[in-house]
This record gives sequence, structure tokens and C-alpha cells, in this order.
Amino acid sequence: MNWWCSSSLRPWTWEPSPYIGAWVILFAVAGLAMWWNRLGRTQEPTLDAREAAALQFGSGAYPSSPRSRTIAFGFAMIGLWACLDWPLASLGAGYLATAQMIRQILMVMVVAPLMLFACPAPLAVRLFGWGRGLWLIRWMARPMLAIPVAALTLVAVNAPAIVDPLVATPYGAFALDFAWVLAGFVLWMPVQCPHPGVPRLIGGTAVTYLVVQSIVPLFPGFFMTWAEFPIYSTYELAPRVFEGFDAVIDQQTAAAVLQVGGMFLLWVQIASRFLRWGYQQIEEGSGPRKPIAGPATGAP
Amino acid sequence: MGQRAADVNLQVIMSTNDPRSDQPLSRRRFLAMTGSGLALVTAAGCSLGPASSSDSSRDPGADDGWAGELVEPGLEKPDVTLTDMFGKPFSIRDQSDGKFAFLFFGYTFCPDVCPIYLNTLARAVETIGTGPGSNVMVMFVGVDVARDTPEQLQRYLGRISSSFIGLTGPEADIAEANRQMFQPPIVIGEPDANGEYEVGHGKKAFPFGPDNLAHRIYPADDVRQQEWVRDLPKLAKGEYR
Repeated sequence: MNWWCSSSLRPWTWEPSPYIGAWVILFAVAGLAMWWNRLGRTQEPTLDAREAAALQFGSGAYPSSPRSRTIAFGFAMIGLWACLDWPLASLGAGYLATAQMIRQILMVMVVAPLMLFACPAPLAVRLFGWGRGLWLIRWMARPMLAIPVAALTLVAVNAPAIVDPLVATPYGAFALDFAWVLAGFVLWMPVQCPHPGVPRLIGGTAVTYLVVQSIVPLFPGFFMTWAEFPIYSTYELAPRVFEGFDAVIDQQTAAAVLQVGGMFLLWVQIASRFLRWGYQQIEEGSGPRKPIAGPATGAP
Repeated sequence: MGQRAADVNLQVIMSTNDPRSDQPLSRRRFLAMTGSGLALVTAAGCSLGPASSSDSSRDPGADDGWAGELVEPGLEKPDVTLTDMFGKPFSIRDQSDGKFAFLFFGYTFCPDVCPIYLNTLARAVETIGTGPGSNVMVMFVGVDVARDTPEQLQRYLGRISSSFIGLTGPEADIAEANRQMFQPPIVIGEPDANGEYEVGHGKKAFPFGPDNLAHRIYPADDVRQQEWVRDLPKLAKGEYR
């Protein structure tokens, strides 16, 4: 039993092989949630200030209810487990670029936003406080920083010169997975930050921000689709998992997962936010009309 | 409790009144951070191309523009007659005389080295299409004589490339051919409960040029498609330096 996944020259086997590191992280996150649910939140004042703060920042109301946060947390945990443990982690680290891309999309586009959505505001306050921690996440939540940092990380974690050496060892593979987590949180912080002391982007600004972020995955996807040869030596020279699913087909499927799957998840968010913003505009526009000033005309 | 909530509320409102109150980073430092980030993005982006992909398993210092190792003097083809996958006698030395040919010893139930080598080589030949290197005679000797029957070789190689030639024969003849290529002895493992067993075999691929000698030896499971595409045309023309 290894502590983290890494590439291996051994033939692929469907015999389960869980990773200790993955379970430690899962139990740590679940433990934090349980602690908060049983003890932590009773030690904190109910943060009624959240709504006021949100309005103060002009970031709109937080629509999430405790129930929806619980559901989001459940899905985030399932996604996290799928990302970090056998079989997806093993396949992704050493056999199939497609599996690695599914892991990346799950982590960046599903787990990170769901975790941020699921995090109660008082817990975010407890974790980051109002001092230097808040300063840090305020910077992370700024689009001018989030855009280049997320872009840098997402391009780097797909570059063969970085991927091939890193997946060869558990430490390297862990660093790569950590970079995904970082990229995921940074990408979603400006629109989904749970801390009430951080201004969030809303409405058209949030939509514009997410559209800009949707451009970044196109670059690695482009290289993977149009490269004449397999770009990752790890997956090219790995024992085949499925007969006929060779390295080039694998790479093109991975590009499709990145471009179609990743884009789909991002554009669902963009569409949902756009519609919510649109309806909000309509509601504001259909408020009670002011009486028309001036003399009445026409009626006898 | 109510007082504490009010304190928190006050903190929130205080922190919103002056947006610059807790931002130690200056604009210049922020721009420097962003600039260095963008520089790293550019550097990472430049390394996305296949030409810069790393191959950690070989010594980069030994890269002389070839994926195979130079051997001097060149190795001769084994003087052995086996049976091809259609059941006909096949003399390795005679029937590949003067041709650009590859020889490899493997087995059809191999889960790693053999399919990696054969598939990578087949895709490279497809990529070359026409011209030098495209017309290569690939000879695959099935060392697991119990399972590598002519029919099995036909089925196996048929899924990879219709031009590849499967060879089998008596164990002693295969062992002799293997020995003449200075490969480690073939080891047939003990069957497990399911009757499955492993086979130990050499991992080297031998390309023979028009002079019927192999001047370079390739690690079969460690050569990438782009490296085959680079080396095959040169080998086909008799170049090896």
C-alpha cells in the first residue's frame, strides 16, 4: 500500500489498491466538518453579519441554505475521494492521460467550487479570521491575481516537461495534485469565497470573469489535440489498460475531456449566474412604477 | 452572544469602509508578482511542445541524436530457421537479406514491453507513410512456444500491423537465436492457480540495415514514437552514426 499514487511500469490490474495519503486527507476534511457540526459552530456567534456584510460589499445575498451546503459537501467529498484514490488516481498517474484529465477537471471544476459553496461563513471566519488570513484570501479573491495564478498553474500542470517527471514519484504526484487544488480554489475564490469579509464578484462581472477563465484550458487542449505525437512519455510508454486505446487516442480523449467536459461545467456555472442576474434585473425593473408627472391628456 | 455578534458585524463594516486599510502589498510589488507569474506561464507554455517532453529513463547526457545504443562491431543476424505465422519455414538471415529489418524476442501474452514496443513502432511506421523507413520488415519471435502458436501470432500481430511477421519454432531454435543476439536466457515461469504464467525475455530490439548488421540496439519499451520516426529513415539508409 503506497501513500500516494505515482506512475509504475507494472501492467495495470483492477485489484484495488487504496492510498493512505488520500484517506488521511478525506478523514481530515470529514473530521473538520464533523467538528464544526458538533462543536465548532456552537462556540461561534451565529454570523448574522454575513448578509449585512455581503450587502455592504455589494456582493449580493448568499443563496445557500444549510441543506444545500450539506448536499454540496457530500458531492465534494465523493469527488475528492474519486480524484485521490484508486482506481482513478492510479490510472491517471501512470496509465491514461484521460484519467488524469478527468481527475483534474473533477478537482478544479467540481470539488473546489463545491467545497467553497459548502463552507459556512462562520467556519471561514474561524479558519481565516480578520487579520493576515483575511488579507491573504482577499488577495486570492482578486480577479487580477486569480486570473494569472490560475492560468499559470493550469498551463504548468499540463506541460509534459512538468507532468512526466512529477508523476514518476509519489511526492511529485502529490505536488501536482496540490497544484490542482490550488488552481481550483484560486479560480473560484473571486466568485465563491465563503468569507464574509471578502467582496465577491456578482452578476455581469462574475459572468465576465468566468468567461475569461474559460479561455485558459483551450491552450493545453489545443496542443493535446493537434500534436503529431503523444506529448507525455508517461502515458505513451505505459502498459495499455484497454486494447486498442493507444497513446494518441488517449491523448485526444484527454483533450476532449478538458475542452468539452471542463467547458461544460464552467459554462453551466456561467449560464446559471447569467440567468440569475438576468432575472434579478427583470425583477428590479418590474417594481412599482412612479406616477407620471405632468398634465393628463386625451381623456374627456 | 449578542454583543459578540455585534462586534463581528462592526469588524465587517469597519473592514469595508477603507478598502486599502489592510493591504500591505504595494502596486509595484503586485505588478512584479503578476509579471513573474506571466513569465512562468510563458515558460511553461513553451515547454508544452512534444519536442521538449522529457524522458527520464535514459541518460540525457548520452543523447547523440539516436534513441538506440551504438554497438561496434555490428551484430549479425541469427543463423536460424523458424516457422512463420502461416506455418512456412522462415530463415531469418536469408529471408531478410539486404532488407531493413527489425528483430525482437517477446511473447503474445506479454502485458507491457511487447505491446508497447510493437504498437509504438507500428504507429511510427504509419506516420512515416512513404519513403525511407516506411518499408521495414518487423520480425517478432514468440518465445512462449506453448501459447505463441502460428494462429495466435496471426491474431495478435493482425491487431497491431498487417505487415509484421510472427515467428515461432522449437524452443531450442528460439533459444539459439536469442543466444546469438547476446540476450539473457528466456525464462518460462511456473503457472499460477489460473494457469497464467510470466515469461522472462530480453527487452532489446535489433534493427538490421542493408549491410545485414545491427549497429544500434534499442530498449524496446523505452523508445517514443517521435524517436522512431526520427531514427527509422536514417537506419533504412544504412546510417548509424
